[in-house]
Parts: sequence; structure tokens; C-alpha cells
Amino acid sequence: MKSSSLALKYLAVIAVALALIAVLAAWSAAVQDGPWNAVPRVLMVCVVIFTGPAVMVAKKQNAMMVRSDSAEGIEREVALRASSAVFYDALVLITAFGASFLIFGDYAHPAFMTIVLLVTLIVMYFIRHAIILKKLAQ
Amino acid sequence: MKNRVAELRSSKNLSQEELAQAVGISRQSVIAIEKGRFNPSLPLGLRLGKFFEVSVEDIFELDD
Repeated sequence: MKSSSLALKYLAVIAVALALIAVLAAWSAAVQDGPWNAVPRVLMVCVVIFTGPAVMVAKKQNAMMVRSDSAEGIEREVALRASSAVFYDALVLITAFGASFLIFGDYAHPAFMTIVLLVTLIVMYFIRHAIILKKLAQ
Repeated sequence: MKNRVAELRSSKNLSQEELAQAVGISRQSVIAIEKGRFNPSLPLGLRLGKFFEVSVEDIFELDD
């Protein structure tokens, strides 16, 4: 029930951000070349920038509510185990990506490969976290 | 390590959530402790002992 309330909080924050962006986009289209045309664009950038921290605040509030931020709870143990596992995954993946870059280097941009590697590692962390948590606490 | 957390909690007619709230951890931590999948830290073990009004040795026992 509490995880669904957290998901609802995330969705609410994202929905509010999207609604604000839509309103600001409409405002931006309406003013076009007027003297105030930079204002909606600047506000849109602000909304995008502040959505991340707002999601983090929602996450922190939820952690405090369910006491998952306790130093003695299982959450720290799960995070530690997931980080440790992903470190070894990173060693293997970096080697694999390095080798594939040597082979397909002409077709893939290094920045693109780096982003793919980082996204893969982040996804693997969350997968490992979910698996370890399920194994320990369910 | 074996423990009697589930037994002691039942004897006090407490839910996992209530115990979790009393000792300052999440319900998932209580589930993991009761199932013997997570060994609590010494301070948490002492808090559990204080809460149940028993010694730590009465709650936790090393496997043979």
C-alpha cells in the first residue's frame, strides 16, 4: 500500500510538472515574439530542473514515513549488496563495451556508448536491488 | 542465527508494522529478521530486547 502511495506521489509530481510545461508551452506559443517571450521558456527550464529534486523530496518523505532510511534496517544492507554486485557487473560490462567499441568503433559514437553503459549499470543496480530485497524480505 | 522475534511479537499481539515503528525500522526489516535472513545490528538487538523486556540472548541464538 505504501509503495503504491509512493508511486502516486511520483506520478503526481511528474503530472504537475508536465501540466506546468504544457501551460508554459502554450504561453510561449501565444506571446511568440513579444517582449515576454523569454519568460515562459525560462520557467519551463526551471520546472524541468526542479522536478528532479521534487521527486527526491517525495522519496525522502516516503523513506522517513516507512523508516526505510534507518541505518539499522535491511534497506542499507540491500543497497550495500546491490552496489557490491553492480561493481563486479561494471568490471565485466566495461570490458565488454571496450571490446565492442574496438570492433564497432566506426559505427558507434564513444559518448553514445558511454551513455548506454551508464544506463545499463543504473538499470542493473535497480534490478539487483529488487532481487536482493525480494530474497531477504518476502 | 535463530531468533524468537516472531514468537515474542505474537505474544504481545503486535503487528509487524507496530513492532517496526516501536524499534525504528521498516516493516520489511522486521520480516527479514523474523525469517532469519537479516541479522540485526547490536544496537537494534538491544532495542528489541528492551522492547520485549528480555535479554538479547533470550531473543537471538547462534546456530549449532
